Amino acid sequence: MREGGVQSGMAEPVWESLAGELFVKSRASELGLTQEAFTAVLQNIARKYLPPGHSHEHLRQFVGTLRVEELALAQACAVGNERAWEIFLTRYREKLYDIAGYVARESSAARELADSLYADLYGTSTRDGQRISKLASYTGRGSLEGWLRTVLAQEYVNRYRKQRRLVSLDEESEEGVQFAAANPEPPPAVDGRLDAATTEALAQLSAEDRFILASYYLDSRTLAEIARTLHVHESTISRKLDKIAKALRKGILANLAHKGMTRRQAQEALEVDVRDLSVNVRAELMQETAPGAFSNKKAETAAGKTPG
Amino acid sequence: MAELPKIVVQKLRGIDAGTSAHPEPDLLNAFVERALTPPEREQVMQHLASCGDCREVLALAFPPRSEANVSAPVAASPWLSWPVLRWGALAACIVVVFAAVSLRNRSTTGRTHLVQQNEVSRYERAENPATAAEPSRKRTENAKTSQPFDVAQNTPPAPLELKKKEAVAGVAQPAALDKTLRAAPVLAADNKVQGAGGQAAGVMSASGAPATEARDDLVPGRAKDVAPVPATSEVAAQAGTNMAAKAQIAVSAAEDRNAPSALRTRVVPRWTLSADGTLQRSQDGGRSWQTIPVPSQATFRALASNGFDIWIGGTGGSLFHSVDGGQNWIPIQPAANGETLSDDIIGVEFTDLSHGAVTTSSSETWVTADAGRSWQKQ
Repeated sequence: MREGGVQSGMAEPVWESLAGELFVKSRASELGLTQEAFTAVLQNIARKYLPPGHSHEHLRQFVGTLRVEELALAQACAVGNERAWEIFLTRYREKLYDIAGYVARESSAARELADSLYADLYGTSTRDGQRISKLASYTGRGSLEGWLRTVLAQEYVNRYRKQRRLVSLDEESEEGVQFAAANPEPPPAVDGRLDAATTEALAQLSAEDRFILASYYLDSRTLAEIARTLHVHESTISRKLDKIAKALRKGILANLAHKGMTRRQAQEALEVDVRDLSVNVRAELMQETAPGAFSNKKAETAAGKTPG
Repeated sequence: MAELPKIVVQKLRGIDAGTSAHPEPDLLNAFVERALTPPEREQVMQHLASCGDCREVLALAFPPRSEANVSAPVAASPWLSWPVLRWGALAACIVVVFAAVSLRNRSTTGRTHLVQQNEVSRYERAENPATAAEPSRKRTENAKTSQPFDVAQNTPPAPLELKKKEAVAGVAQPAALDKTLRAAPVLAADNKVQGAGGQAAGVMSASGAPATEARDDLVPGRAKDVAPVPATSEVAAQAGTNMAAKAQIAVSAAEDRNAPSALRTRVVPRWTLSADGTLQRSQDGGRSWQTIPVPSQATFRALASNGFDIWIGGTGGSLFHSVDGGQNWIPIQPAANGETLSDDIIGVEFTDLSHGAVTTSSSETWVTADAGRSWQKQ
């Protein structure tokens, strides 16, 4: 046993005193839960989230952050306690529909989403004779209302993703079978050095910076939405995006220089998107009169050849 | 904002979460509520940076902005840490308060001056009856601005006077309103609520006395929700604590434009069901709650409200409806095709005053499109 700490097979006296306090605080006895059952739940949660070899103090701090009253309610509902369900319905039934309305935005989809989740929470399916309720997976790390919101959001995203895939397949079968398009030209290859330099520059960013970039440029989130997610002011995100974009450019140019490009070549490589360039060339060729010299020159530059 | 090169956007799009497991709802929710340890937060952030689906879940998992403003404090803006700006902000606040007080004093003085003029005019008229006709027009014009408590005047009084006037009216009227409601119970004898099977439901007040008058006269205005009406900060600040409650009435009066004048000054209550299944009402934004008696021994589990229009459902198929904020209750017995609703009601939802649905513990759903007069079982 480490000095000042305990092994993960936690000493019984530690759990007895902690669990006793938490059992009283959670009012689990009013919901038909025994102290042994509640202690077992807490031990499972601690085992899940705490590293092996954690100390008493760490354990005490961790369980102190748990929402034990809501945890007791969820666990009692999961085992089918009627009193617990009365309380749960009173507190959360309307909220569930409100949350579903916010997530799905459309009333019939929202109702379907809420009813479906309600069935999962109630535990309409069984395994080996045991009722399976989604509420059993709530661990009290955050509020029960927030957990319901997250579960609803996940369910909605999963459903929407499935529908998107199904629609894509339908479109593909209609267009692919009956009206087979001519084989498209393979996309022009990006300069390998530029590709590598960009990958390296992105890898140097922190996870939060990449999250901000992805949220803004891929998900089209507004600055306000991103700021809310990270609990900062909108102007902070605006400044951060600017800073990250500049840092990326600087990083890519530095990497390209390191790979043998001149500064001018590196800048041009970064400015010109080869896919745009090839489209332009095709458009130029389709015209009756085509000023191709400038385009050709740019193509040569992008490919790394020295102009002139 | 600096442009991001397209190659970077392309790379970002290509980054995949790979085999990294999606965080469980518990962890994502804890991320939203800032309940994760720093290492856990970093781990979740790593996944979020490369998983578009989880970012979408995260965006949806945040409560709407109005709720989030209460629970998620934004980090303090750095510019307030400059002492000069802090003191400048304080000085600006003092100037604004001083200006507001000065304006108020000026308007009070002006009104006093006009009242004095009227007194003088009346005195002069009493002394000189021959001149009574001439100053009457002048007095009328003065009256428009000197009698701020008269609602019917065309010239709008100053905002503070308007709110005071409505508040005084609001204080006076609830007593009259209560009297009206007590004298005129909910339904006329020939306007009973029936299920589709022809069952008539008598109307009962909370005390059990039968009702006789038509209910349409007392249908309250369609206040949008039962959320607490925020106290108008300007009125409360200026008029003191006593005015705070009156200001609340004035604000709800201004908002509830469709209500009959007798009901215009009522505060929209909040409703909840206690853990032991009794109905409770708050008329002060949730600060205090009163138990509202319902003529039934049932334990109530479901509630839907639209202003003063309340539906509650409970054990044994108990369903009650009130249109006057809980003063009188109508027991409702949904019935269709020879069947009646008798299981425990666990859900009640009304999208407006007429259209609603009731859900039972046996997964039955009963819908109505005419405020409970007829029902269909789905």
